[in-house]
This record gives sequence, structure tokens and C-alpha cells, in this order.
Amino acid sequence: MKKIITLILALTLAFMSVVPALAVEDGFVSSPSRDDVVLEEGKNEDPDCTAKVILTMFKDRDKLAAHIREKLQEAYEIIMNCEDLTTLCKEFAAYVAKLGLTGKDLAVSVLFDLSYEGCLDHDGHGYFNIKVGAKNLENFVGLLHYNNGKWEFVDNAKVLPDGETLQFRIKDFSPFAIVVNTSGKVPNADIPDTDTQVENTQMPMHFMIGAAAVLVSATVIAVVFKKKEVKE
Amino acid sequence: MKKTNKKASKKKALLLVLVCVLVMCSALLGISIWENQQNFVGEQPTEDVTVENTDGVEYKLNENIETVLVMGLDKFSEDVDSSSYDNDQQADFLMLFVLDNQNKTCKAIHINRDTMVKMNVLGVAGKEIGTTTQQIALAHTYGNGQNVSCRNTAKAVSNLLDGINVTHYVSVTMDAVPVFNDLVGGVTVEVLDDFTGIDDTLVKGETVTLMGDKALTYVRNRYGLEDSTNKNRMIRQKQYIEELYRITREKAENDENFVLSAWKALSQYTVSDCYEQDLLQIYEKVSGYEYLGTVSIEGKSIVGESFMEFYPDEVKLEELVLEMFYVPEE
Repeated sequence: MKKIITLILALTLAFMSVVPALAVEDGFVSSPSRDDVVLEEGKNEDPDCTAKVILTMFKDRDKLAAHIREKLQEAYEIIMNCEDLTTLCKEFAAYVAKLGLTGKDLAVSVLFDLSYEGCLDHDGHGYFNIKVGAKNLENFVGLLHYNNGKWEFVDNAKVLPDGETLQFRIKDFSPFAIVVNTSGKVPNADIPDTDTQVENTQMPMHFMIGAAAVLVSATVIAVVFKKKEVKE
Repeated sequence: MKKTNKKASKKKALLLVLVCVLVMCSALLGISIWENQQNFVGEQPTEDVTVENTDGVEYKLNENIETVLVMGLDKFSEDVDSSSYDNDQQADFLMLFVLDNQNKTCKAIHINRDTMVKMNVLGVAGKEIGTTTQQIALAHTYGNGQNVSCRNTAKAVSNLLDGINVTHYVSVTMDAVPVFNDLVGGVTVEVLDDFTGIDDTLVKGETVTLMGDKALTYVRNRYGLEDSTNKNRMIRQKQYIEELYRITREKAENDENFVLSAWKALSQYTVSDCYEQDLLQIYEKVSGYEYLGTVSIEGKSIVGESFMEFYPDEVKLEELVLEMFYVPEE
């Protein structure tokens, strides 16, 4: 009995020691930065393609080559002067109408450039599968692509179940704009293109600790009963 | 005999199960209590004209209060680019001056840049596209780095302080610090931290007069110090600001042109919703007020996923808001 109580006390102490371990750590903690969009994956469907995809935020456009920077600037100015984003592209307008939204309900949350380096034959290599981590995707409506002076609707873009990753498939690069719904209206649900269900796969901590405690208790009881049987 | 033994065994087993369950519950309760201590300031209610505190006394919003938010940005003016819809200038220093125009007093709330608060997210054309909860310093990174960003930060401060209106704002880049510091003839402080390896002339415990970039080093640096937290840096900033404020008032009293010439020297590093004359008028008003000191919001700092996060103590914050912005209903 003494051994069992000692074991239980030891386990309780172990639980309690978790608390201070989560307190403030010593050492320098750097200031946070804000990255609205982060490239998570940029792979070509052709395994021979050696291209490396590069994502550049609009505010960092000075890092881009002049001709790419010009396109990004053009895209920005069009968006700034556009009162109704549905006028940029007919396919996008049709899609927005299906959702039961209007141009006034929309805004561009992020403008960024995708380019590549390291492959001279990427044209022959086909499509790239891109994943970007982005914020405010819970109100995602669509992805627009500024290509050769025209806006195109990337109709395969979808938000993954984690709610923080946008996945799409492209052949051409240059500026992209993420469009979100700012109206608060709930879009029509029968459009299957986006899935914003966020699965919470993380078990609550209380459940884990409770389960561990039950397991330990059951083990202790089994050991005690077995000892009793052996004695009898 | 066997039956009695079996009954006794069952009783012991049941007792054991009960003990285990009690231990488990205690552990869960302990963790729950610890988690609740991480008081998080959640969504702030919209402005309440009348509130009732725990003593049953009704309070109303003090209509004689005017506020000025001063933001210190973590960039030099030459690095500022206002041609984008967002920027990387964080409001590393935040101080809200609270002016009571009836009682002729001035107090200040020093806000930790790591305070987790709900803020507006601005899209490409400056439109509000949603909200997010993150360090208050980041509120300034939405917008063009100028008035749009300042307004967004003012809104975040308002959210933090239960919907209190921020009347005016002024943001300054880092290069303004040595300029203003030298304009007043330097600021004398007792060095609170050991700056060995960063600036060997700043020795802990010694009294020095900060001049030029030394002033910026003193209020800005935390990397390489024994206590590199922002909380510790805020102690030095408060010390510096209070002394700077005292010296500025002395200068202004002795030289009627001082405030105007200071403003002219600083204007290239400043963004404000006020014109020059408005700021001068505010200063002239405040110069006759009694300065009641600076308070910091109490709370707890923890390391989040990657960065420091400060969570104000909800009860203490509510008391502060009540004390600073409300008066008893007559």
C-alpha cells in the first residue's frame, strides 16, 4: 500500500512539474514579424524540373528584377483603382455571382509575386503545384493571376482543411492576388471549390492527462489484485 | 474466512480507485487554475457609457478626457517606404497620454509592445478584411506605414482599453530620439542595465548624461543584455521618458520658441493626425498640467509559438480603465 501511495504521489508531482516548464524561458526572444503569405511548397509535376519557386511579397518588390517588379506594380495599381474586383475577369465575376456575392463584398487581402529560378526548360515541364500559408483564409473567395496584362481566375485554388494553406496549380508565374469576402455574408454553400473546414486534430491536454491517470490507476489496481491472488 | 477476505480486498480496491480519481481531479484542477492565470484580454466590448464596478457604484465615461498616442517605430526614416499597402515598421514603443482637461492633469499608460490584442487586418486597398489577435506592435504594419498604419494602431489600443477613444496620434522613427535628446541638452539617467559589449560607457549604477546615439542605444537595445525582455526595456524607457518630459517642460518654460523649434527639427521623422499648430496647442495646454506619472499594465509574459506574448491581467486592466477614463455617476 505504501508503495502504491508513493507511486501516485510521484505521478502527481510529475504532473505539477509540467506547469513551471511552460513558464517564461531565459534567453533572447526576437520580435515577431508579419508574413502574410509564406511559400510552403512549389513543385513541378515533372520530376526532372529543377526550378525553385520564389514568393515575393509586394512590399519586398525591390528584390525583384525590373521587368517582374513592373508587372507587380501594374497589378497593384489596377487593384488600387478598381472599385469592383469582378470587373477584372469574367470567369471570376461568374463565380462570385454563383456565391451570391457582389464586387462590393470583396477585397484583395494579399498581393504577391511567384517566380522561379534554376530551370531553363520549365515551359516544357508542365504545371507547378503550389501551397502557400496565408492568413484570413476563412473568408477566401478566389485567387486571381495577372498574366500578360490580363487578370485570370485560378479556378483550382482551394483552402486546405487546416484553414491556413492555399493550394493551387499553375503553369505561368507573376503576380497573384488573394481575394476575400469582407461583407460578413455567408456565400452559397453549393460551390465545392473551397473547403474551409478546420479539423482540430489536437487532443485537449486535460483529456490526455485524464487518460494517463486512468491507465496508471488501472495498472496499479491490476497489480494489487494480482498480488492478493498470489497471497491467497 | 475466504468471503471476509474477499470483501476486505474489494473494499481496499474501491478505496484505491477513489484515491486515484481524487489525485487525477486534483491534477486537472491545478492545471486549470494555472491556465486561467494566463488572463487573456479577449474581445473588448464597445464603448459603455455607464459601468458598475464591484462596489455597486455606477461610473460613466469622463467626457473631459483627451488622449494622445505616441508610437516609437523600429525603423530609421530612410528605411521607411510608404508606397505599399503594408510595411515592416513595428510600433516598438507605445505610450498613451491621458489628459484630464477639467482637473488639469496628465497621466501616461505605457503599453507593452508584445500585448496580445485583437486588431484589424487591412487589405491591399486599405479596406478592413478581418481581424487577428497578435502583438500590438504589429498593428502598425498594416497600411502604408503612415496615417493608415497609425490609425490601425490607435484602434488596437482602443480595443485593448475597452473601446476608449484615442483622440490623437503621433508616430516617430528611431532617428528622432537622438535629435530630440540633444535638443534638450541630453538626458541624465542612472544606468539600470549592464551594457558591456554593447556600449562600455554605459555602466550599471553609474549616472550618465545620454547624448546622440547613446540615448537611442539606452532606450532601444535589449539583445545582449542580461535581461533581454521587452518588459525590462520598458523600465528604462519609462525612466528616460519621465526625465525627458521634465527637462522639456523646463526648456519650454525658459524659452518660448523651444517647442516650435523642436517640432521643426522632429517633423521629418514624425507622422501625426495633427497639424503643427494643433500639436503646439496641445503642448501649451499640457505644460500647465500636473504630471501624475506613468503606469504600465500588469500581466504576464510567456513565450508563444515563436515570439513573446504579453497577456494583461484582466481584472487589473479593468481597474486601470475605470480609474483613468471613468468618473462616478452623480
